[in-house]
Amino acid sequence: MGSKVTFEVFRFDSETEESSYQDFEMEYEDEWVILDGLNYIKGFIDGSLSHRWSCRMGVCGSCGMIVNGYPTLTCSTFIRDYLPGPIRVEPLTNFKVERDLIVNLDDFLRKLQQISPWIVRDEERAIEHGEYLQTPAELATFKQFTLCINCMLCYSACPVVSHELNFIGPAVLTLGHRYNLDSRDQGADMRLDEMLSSDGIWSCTFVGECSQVCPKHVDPAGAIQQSKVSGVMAYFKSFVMSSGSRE
Amino acid sequence: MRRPRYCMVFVREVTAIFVVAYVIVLLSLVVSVGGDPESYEAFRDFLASPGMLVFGVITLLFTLFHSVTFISLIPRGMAVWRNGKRVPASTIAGPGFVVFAAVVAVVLLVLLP
Ligand code: SF4
Ligand code: FES
Repeated sequence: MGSKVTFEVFRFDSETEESSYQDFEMEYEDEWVILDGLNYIKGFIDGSLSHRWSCRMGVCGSCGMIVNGYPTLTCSTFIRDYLPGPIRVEPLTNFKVERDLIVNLDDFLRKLQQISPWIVRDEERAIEHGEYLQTPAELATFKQFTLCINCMLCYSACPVVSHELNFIGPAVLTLGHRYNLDSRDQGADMRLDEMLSSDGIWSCTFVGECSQVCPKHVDPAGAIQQSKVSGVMAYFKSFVMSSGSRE
Repeated sequence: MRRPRYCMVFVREVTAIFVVAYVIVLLSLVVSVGGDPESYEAFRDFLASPGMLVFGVITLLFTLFHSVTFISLIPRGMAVWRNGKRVPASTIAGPGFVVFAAVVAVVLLVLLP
C-alpha cells in the first residue's frame, strides 16, 4: 500500500430510483487495476456496492464499465494510468441500470439469440461420420471475430445503439458474420434475413467507435461493413438467379 | 464533443451535403446552357461571384477529404485472403488512391488550357 486515489462511483437504487456519485478514497498498489479498487471498496469500505466481475483476466467479459467517460474493461486497466484521479466509474451507457454498476443484459441476450450464433446445418451429419473438417485458411477468415468476449463495450460506445433501441448492435452482428464465414455453416441465408432487416447492418453508419473500444481487437465495425458487402452480393445473386429461372 | 471519432463522422456526413450542393449547381449550369444566351451569361456571372468562388474552394477541400477518408475505409469492408493471409489494407486502398489521382489528373488536363 502506498499512494491514495479517489474513486467517484455511480450509485443507483432501483427501488427508490435514486442515483448519486459516491467518493471513496483508498490506498492502492501500483499493480492494481480499476476492478481491484472496486473490490477493495466492496470488501473494506462499503459492502453494499454492486458490480459484476468473474475472471479478472479479460476473458469473461463481465467487468465492462465506463471509466472517466470511456467504455473500459476494468480488470485490464491499471489505476496508475488514471492518476492523479479522481477516477469516475459508471455503469455501461446504453443499457438500463439494475443497481450501481450493474446493467440489465436481457435486451442484449434477446438480440444474441435472434442471430442464431451457432453452426446451422441443412442436415446434421451423423456422429459416426465424424467432425466437420476445416482448413487453417478457412479458420483464418473468421478467427478474429471469434475472440469476442461479450463485454458489450461496443454497445456502450455506439451512437446508433443509443438512438435506435432495436439496432442489433456491433457484437451480435459480428457474431452473425463470424458464422456466415464459417465453412461448416449453412445458415447464412437465414441469418442474413435478420442482419439485412431495418434493425441490422444498414443502421450502422460506420462511426467505428466500437472497434476503438474493443479490448479484443475484434473490429466489429469492419465485420459489419464486410457483412454489407456480402448482403449486396447475396441480393445480386438472388436477383440473377430469379431472372434466370423466369426464362 | 467528447469523442473525436463522433466528430469526424459528423464532419464526413456534412461534407457530403456540399458535394450534393455542387451537383445541383452543375445541373443548373447544364439547364442554363440549354436556355437562352442571356440566362447562360447571367449564370456564368453568378458562378464567378466571390461567394460562389468561396463555395467552390470549400467544396473542393471537402470533396478531397470525403474521397480520401472513403478510400481509406474500403479495406475495412473488404476482407481479401491470399494463401491463408489477409491482404494488407495498403494493397487494397493503394489502387483506389491511384485511380482517384488518375481521374483528377485527367479532369485537370481536360479543364486547364
Ligand atoms: S466486439 Fe469487442 S467490445 Fe464488442 S462485445 Fe465483443 S469483445 Fe466486447
Ligand atoms: S473480470 Fe472477466 S473480463 Fe474482466
